[in-house]
Amino acid sequence: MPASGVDWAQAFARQAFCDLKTRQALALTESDKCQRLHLLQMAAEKVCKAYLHDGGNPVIRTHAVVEKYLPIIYRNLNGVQAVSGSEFNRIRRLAREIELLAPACDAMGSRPDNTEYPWEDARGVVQTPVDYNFPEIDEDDRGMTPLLRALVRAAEQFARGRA
Amino acid sequence: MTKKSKLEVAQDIAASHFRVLEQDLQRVFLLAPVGEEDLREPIKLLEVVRGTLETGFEPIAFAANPGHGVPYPSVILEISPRQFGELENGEVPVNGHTWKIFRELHAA
Repeated sequence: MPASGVDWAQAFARQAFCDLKTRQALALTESDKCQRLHLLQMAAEKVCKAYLHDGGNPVIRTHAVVEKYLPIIYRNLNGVQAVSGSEFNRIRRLAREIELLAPACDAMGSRPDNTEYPWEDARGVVQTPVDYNFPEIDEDDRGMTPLLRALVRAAEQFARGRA
Repeated sequence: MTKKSKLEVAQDIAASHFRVLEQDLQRVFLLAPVGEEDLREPIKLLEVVRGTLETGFEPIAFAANPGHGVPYPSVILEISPRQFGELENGEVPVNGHTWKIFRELHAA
């Protein structure tokens, strides 16, 4: 019998939780922002794929799921009424920026910055993730805490079988 | 320039969070152990936020960011007013440890 959507959801969620734990540990040591953001991007993508599997939806091999689904997961967890329009928009913006951290997601070439591989910027300068500041994602933004909490919570719930 | 103490940095972080979450952030506490001499010990803040997810205690860690005036790693623990009311003796059980309320921090 083939694996069910819930089986896959649990597997993606467990791996997402592992990514989040590692991000947490890195944050408490001297670590590079690119590595912390790489783990955040991977965890967010896996949580979104867990969400899709859990709902019985097809999951194609793509990194481009975070911008679309992470805000929905966030709103489902917190309750539609509890999330204001401005908060939802802030989460949508962050979700888009997190998705763009994957090398394969570059907004049709306009955003080559990513957490894994060097790229050439618009001035012809080769940028390296470890030296790049990723200014679009401020890790000290207070909005990061509820987003990360939602990722942890969603990963835990999908890993248990439902969210 | 003298490096700020953890208490001073904690106060700065709290003040910035009060500015951002002025509607919902009700109280902020610095949690012990503070470990002023231990650079590996993160600043731990308990934030009481109206409308937050009422789940377990989920500390979220953030890296030190000396360029932004935060020379120590930090941990934010966000709970609801109801959860705060249920704390016993100011103690917060987290991942097998017990953190204790050390001092309340204010907006300014």
